[in-house]
Amino acid sequence: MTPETIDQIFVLSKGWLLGYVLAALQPIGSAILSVVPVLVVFPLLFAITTVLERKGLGRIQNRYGPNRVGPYGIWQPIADGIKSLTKEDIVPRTADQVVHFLAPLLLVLAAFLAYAVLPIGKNMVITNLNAGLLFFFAVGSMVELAVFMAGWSSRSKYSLLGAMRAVAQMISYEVPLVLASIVVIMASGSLSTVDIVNMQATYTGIWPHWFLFTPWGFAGFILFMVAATAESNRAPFDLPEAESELVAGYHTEYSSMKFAMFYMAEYANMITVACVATLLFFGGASSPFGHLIPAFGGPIVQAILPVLWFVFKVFCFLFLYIWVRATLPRFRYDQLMGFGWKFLLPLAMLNIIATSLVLAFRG
Amino acid sequence: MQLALFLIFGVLCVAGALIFLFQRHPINSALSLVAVMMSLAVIYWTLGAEFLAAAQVIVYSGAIMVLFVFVVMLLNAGEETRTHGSSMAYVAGIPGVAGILALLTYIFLHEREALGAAQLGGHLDGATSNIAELSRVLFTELLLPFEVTSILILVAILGAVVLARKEQ
Amino acid sequence: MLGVGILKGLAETARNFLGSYVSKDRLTTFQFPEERAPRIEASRNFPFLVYDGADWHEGMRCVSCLICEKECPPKCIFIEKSTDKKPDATGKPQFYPTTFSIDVSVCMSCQICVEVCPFNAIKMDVDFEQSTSDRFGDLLWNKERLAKSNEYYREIHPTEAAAVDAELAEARAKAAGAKAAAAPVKPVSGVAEEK
Repeated sequence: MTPETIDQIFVLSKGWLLGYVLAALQPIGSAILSVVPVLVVFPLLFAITTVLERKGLGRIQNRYGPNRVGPYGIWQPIADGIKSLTKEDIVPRTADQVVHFLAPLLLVLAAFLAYAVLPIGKNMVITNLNAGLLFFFAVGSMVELAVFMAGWSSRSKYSLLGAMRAVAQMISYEVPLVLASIVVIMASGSLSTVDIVNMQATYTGIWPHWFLFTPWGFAGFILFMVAATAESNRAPFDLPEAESELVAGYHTEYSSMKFAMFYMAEYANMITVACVATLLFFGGASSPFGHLIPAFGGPIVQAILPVLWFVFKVFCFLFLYIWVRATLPRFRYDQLMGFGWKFLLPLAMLNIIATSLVLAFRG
Repeated sequence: MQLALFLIFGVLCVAGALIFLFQRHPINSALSLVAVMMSLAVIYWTLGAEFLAAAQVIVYSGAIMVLFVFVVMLLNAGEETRTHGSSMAYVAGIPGVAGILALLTYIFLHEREALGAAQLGGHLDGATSNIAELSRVLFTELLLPFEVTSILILVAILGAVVLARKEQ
Repeated sequence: MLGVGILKGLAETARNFLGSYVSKDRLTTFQFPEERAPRIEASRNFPFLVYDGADWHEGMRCVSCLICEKECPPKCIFIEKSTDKKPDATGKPQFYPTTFSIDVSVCMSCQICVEVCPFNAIKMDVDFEQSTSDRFGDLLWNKERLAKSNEYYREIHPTEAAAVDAELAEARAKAAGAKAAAAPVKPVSGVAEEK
């Protein structure tokens, strides 16, 4: 196996599998073959994240997390999944049946659609769009609609209040999110996620060229992480689903599998945003000290290593999310809106102005 | 492939528009309008305008439709009652619409060469990203309309702030 | 500096997280079926009937006075008084309950039955692992199930049991002394009195 073969192994294996498909069906077959790994891997990642979160929160709160179901509780998501599937699905009689049914579907669809433009390793992106990052933000706007649909269709006070708060919060924090990533777009000159990752793959001395290590990248990273936490309704911005205030917010009237869909969509959103933060600021799949260690293990290891680095970085972000959740109390709603509009937005714009001045002077 | 996508999303678009017209509850209309916007975005994409598709989703369905939906929710608009329009409207309206449609179709098809094809200053062939093309055109040739539009939006925001301020 | 509070908070939780792996006394959770928290003497769960000696039927202290049945607020005690009498621990013939049932789905553990019992016959148990899958049949406990020995009582409530034992021993001594005093004085003939 030559290094080139290993490098292109996913592309080649897909081509080999497509050889068995009829010529007329090949475009569909190609699309399905690209999508199925994502649909298999990311729910698995969601399951792992739920266990990690519960164990992590537990340890931070000086208690064990779940530890009954498997060694160290790792089969807990299976138990949760079985519970969700076997519970009775209750739909309120006055609820708008069609919209009530479609809302979790749309939410999960939007959450998973964003994975289409994320490069996991080299040559491991489903589609390399020219406007990949813009596509990612567009999909994020779909999430708000689905949240609103869920809250409205349940025809209940708590759901409506929760949905209004959630939608208002998400559209307010989408602006600093996009503005914070604009500095990266400016510095790399392209909206394509693959290009952004490739621009960070070089090294000077011991420092990799990640955008995090530039001053505007660092500021952008902090802003991006804060806005992303608010976008995905995570603590401390989780007022829309605050149990103590709104029963369960916009997913009050959902039970069993639909609730599990909401849960999955929230975590998938979190993972997506962690992946995008890795891509934009942490160099995606590039290893921080790969060039110092000589290549070892042969071409197979060399092909797998970037993927492992990517997954490691994503897990670091997930751990950061869990850590922040366990530390900070919830924002009050007016504090939340004020924070987004009066603090993050001006800072993000200042960041853009400063970056553009620096980049203009550099030539 | 392109034909299949166009057919599916074209039908979805028209169906959404019809549902939008015939729904009684304003929220259902708003949601079907969202479906129309999304199908339009997909059709733009099949035509090669990626940026426009993404902007359509972000601006139209992500912001404008959310605004519509918020307004309907806050004003608690209920189901509309069906009114009986005057039968004169049916007698004069339907033939009138059919006539205008026929006239327009004839004109467009007859004068096809005169209408021409618009050029975006380059070729949308994928070699240059259409964002680069759009921004080049927007900041050089069409700078004045761009700035005037920004000022228009600023005026709208100021108006909203003034209208929403509490009386002191 | 902006955000110092957040960083201090994050440091605190990080210390908790890492500390929970290093020092085992941070995690105070009892891993339930394997470890149990130490028994607390003054806790109570459902009542039980105390019996002295080895035979639960013969040694049961309950004389079917029906006070606990009357005083029980949710009326969850059901007693049937016997028609004959059997000797109790001091030898005196007493009535006994032919059936004594407590409906533990109703019992609210208020301990009033314990407080009003003049014979120290019903006391509160501390066993809380009573869950069952038979909602109707298994929650009505009969006399046999409720009977537990005095040794068990001493084990779960040591100070209370010691006080009760002392009281009962005193009562028995007084009863025996009164009996000996009330017994007619027989001429000295070496005939052994029945004790």
